[in-house]
Amino acid sequence: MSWFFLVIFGFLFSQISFAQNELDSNSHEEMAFINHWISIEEYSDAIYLIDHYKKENLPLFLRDSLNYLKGWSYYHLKELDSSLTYLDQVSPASAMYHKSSFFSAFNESYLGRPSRGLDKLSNSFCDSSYFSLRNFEMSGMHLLERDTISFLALAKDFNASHYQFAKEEKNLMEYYQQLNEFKDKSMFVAGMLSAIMPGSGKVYAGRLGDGISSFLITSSIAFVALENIRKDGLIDPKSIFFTGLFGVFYVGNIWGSVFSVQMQREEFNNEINHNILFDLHIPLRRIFF
Amino acid sequence: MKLITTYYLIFIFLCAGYSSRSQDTLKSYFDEGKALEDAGALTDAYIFYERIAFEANDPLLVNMALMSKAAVLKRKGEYLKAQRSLERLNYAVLNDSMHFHARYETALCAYLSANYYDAISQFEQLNFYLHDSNLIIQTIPLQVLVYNEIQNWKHAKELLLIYKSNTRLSVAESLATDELISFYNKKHIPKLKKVKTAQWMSAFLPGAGQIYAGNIGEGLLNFTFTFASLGIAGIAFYYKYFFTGYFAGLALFQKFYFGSNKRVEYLVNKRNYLNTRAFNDEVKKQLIIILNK
Repeated sequence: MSWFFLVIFGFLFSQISFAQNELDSNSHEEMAFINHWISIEEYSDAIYLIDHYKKENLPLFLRDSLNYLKGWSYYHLKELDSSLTYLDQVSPASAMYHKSSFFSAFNESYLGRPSRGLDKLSNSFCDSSYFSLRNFEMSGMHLLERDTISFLALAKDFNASHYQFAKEEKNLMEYYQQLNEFKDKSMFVAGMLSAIMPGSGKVYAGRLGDGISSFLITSSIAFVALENIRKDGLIDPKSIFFTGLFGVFYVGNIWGSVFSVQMQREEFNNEINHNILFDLHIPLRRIFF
Repeated sequence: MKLITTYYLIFIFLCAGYSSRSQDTLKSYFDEGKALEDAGALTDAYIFYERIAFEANDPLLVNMALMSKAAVLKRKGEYLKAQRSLERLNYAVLNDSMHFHARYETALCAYLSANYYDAISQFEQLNFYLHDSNLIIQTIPLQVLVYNEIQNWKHAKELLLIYKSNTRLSVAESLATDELISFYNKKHIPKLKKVKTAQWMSAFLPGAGQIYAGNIGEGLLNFTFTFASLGIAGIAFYYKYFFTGYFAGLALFQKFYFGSNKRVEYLVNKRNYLNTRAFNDEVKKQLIIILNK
């Protein structure tokens, strides 16, 4: 009789185990299959598959895997907002948690929201092995925010001991120097200079070529207007036309000089931001691939 | 003994969950894929075929799955993805006729996704790996279309001549092929204009480059404006309006003269594109008529 119970118990145990194994095996196969689509660089199809995967009563590790794979596919499709939405849902229990949280924070920075990236990195769980990377990424995000005090506080720990981002640490320090050395020009001064001598405001803003060209065009029209006024008087239609044309170019040049200061500032900031983002991205690709 | 039997039974039960999917099951998947295709669920169908390719161990089965996937993608109009799918085929296990079919399909998808040099690469590999001239001949109509697109009309005509002399054509087909070959004459083959020539012409005579590119009205207008601005400068100098003559007249002249340089480049490229398109589309139309006869 006891043998009978033993067989029944064995049967029931094996069925439970079988069901569990089948679930694990099927889900592993599915994850491997979705990964396969990513490896053949067909990301939209990977997302399609994930969207059609049965999501009811999924264990946490599976939900994490699906969220990670979906976020990663969107990252490759350069749909960063969607990417971070899914990467954020990966739980700390997942093996992909750190990769997801670092890339999510980077995506935020890339989308022009470094403060959110900082929040994510400072509030998320971080294993001690990633402390240096987090410190580096956060320092770059502070620099994107132009918060140089916080940047310096973190940059104190830069020691070039991690080959994955030693060079990038040095680069961030250089960008910090460049930001410090950048002299912000006054829009008012640029406008005044151009009012006194056309084009000089643009030269002041750092656009020598634009300044010379503006000077030549405006002064040429001024000479033409003067010549017509001298020969035919101020009331002559030609004089009125060329004087009016000079007025338009003169005022336009002052206006342009004011904006050239702003443009110069934006160009400088964009270039620095682009370089910082590039240097924040490279270590992530090195470490998480 | 009873105990041993019992343990064996338990072992069998425990191991039942680990049995892997058989290759026969994978084969039955093709029917499922076909059913999805028939139901119009094309995305699900090609995902299904990719699954077979992913799970199968038999390279022949993998190839079949990839070819089925490519066929569905082609049906969906996703030619580049179809080409990429076919490029993953394992040619080592294909016989000559399958090899031919696979490369032909890859070349066709490459042509349809405008990757003409990828298509040529497939033709060259066909010539290298397969020595059955009967098979190679069948690729000629597609080769003609590809060489037309890269504007190598001379080679396209040579291919048509080879096709005609090596294929058993009906009288109607033969006549239509002759007509198509005769279409490749100096009168019809697009004469591609050169941007440099047009720019030189415009440099010597403003507007001439536009006329060379086929835009007669625009050329005449450019000629008139350029010389009118020069005239304004001349008149101004004559009446001693030196600044006006120099800055207004000559500045305008300079704008018309140098501005036409860029414009001429655009017009020549546009003309070449339109002429090429007209010729290639006509050849394509005639070729389809021949193949349908």
